[in-house]
Amino acid sequence: MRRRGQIVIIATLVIAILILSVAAMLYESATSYQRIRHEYISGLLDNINREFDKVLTYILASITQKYDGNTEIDAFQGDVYLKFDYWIKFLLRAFSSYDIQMDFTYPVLDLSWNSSNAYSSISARLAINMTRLGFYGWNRTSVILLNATILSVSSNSYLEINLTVNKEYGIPDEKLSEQSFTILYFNGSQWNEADILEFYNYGGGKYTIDVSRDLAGKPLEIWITDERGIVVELYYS
Amino acid sequence: MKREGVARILEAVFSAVLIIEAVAVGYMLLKTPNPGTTKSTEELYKFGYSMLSSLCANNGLDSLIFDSNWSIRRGWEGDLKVVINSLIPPNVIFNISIYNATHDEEGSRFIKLVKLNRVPISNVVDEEVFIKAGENVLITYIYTTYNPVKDDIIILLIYLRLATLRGV
Repeated sequence: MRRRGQIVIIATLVIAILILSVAAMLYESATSYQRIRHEYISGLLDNINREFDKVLTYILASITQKYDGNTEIDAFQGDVYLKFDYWIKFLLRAFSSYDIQMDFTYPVLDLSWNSSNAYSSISARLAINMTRLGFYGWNRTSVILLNATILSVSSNSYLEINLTVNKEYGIPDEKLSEQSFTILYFNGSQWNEADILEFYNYGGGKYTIDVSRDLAGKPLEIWITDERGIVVELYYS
Repeated sequence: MKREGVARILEAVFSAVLIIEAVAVGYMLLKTPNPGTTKSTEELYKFGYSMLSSLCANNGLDSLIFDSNWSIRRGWEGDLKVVINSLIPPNVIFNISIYNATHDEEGSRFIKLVKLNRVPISNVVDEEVFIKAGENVLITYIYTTYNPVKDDIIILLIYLRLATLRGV
């Protein structure tokens, strides 16, 4: 009787271990599928997110490089629609196998130039569902901005222009060099380019540009092109 | 006596099963993937996206594929293969295909994808190696860049296939 009891105990133990190991394997299979899908979708959305910002940046750079500060912005809106529409159609084509559903607004272009505080900006919204992957509700509004402000202009041995340059969300633009700035002055009949005599980058988006003090009192235009190719124009008189 | 013998045999069989099962379960629970040599599907996805993301960061793909006039560089496929080879672990095989998005016809609403690489960009000659390989993933990646010469947006669709070789 004692030995029979041993067999029953061992058999029970074996069955219990078998059931536990099968349960552990099933759990592992179920969670690893979810982890794999999560990894795939997060990679995909991270990619779309970055490219969404990039396409808006390219559109803004392209428009601001053509804009002279006087033309109506509406003249460029058609180009904005065409470029963005092309990108949206590409997304639909590229991810059609995932049954991608999109809701979006066309980019809104806003260029406010010709003053001591000027900016170039573009914004659009994109929402995505990928029904075949079981993913719903990704929604993002992207804003791309280049904002510049003249802090002060003072005349000593040079005409010293202090300004600050920011990107979207108040991020200071610290990568600008002397070549990023073009300064024009009005000599009474036409606009001429001024030589930059000294250039200082203090970090935090703050810059000082020194030009000849002979330009004091003359109207100035400061054209800034950032590392993304976006242009903004400041005016000071 | 006869019954005792049967019981002993059964005990021995059960004990053996118990030991084998314990070893198998223990091995399954203790086995940890080594990121340098073995990659699970999840890790392969993570690795693939991270590799493409660093490859495309700061428009790195532009200088590989296009020349200064934004024409397709000759032999860019070989250069890209060298770059990817330097990024992937030794037991991972890859095949990358790049498609360029264009309008189907001039003024058409439809997008056509044209394969950009004329030769395969892969570290294996035979495609069948992927079928025989262990973990196998296909990553879809989009890449947008700006052609200042034509004032146009270039959009590329990248298909990256990764697999781990068994027993390496």
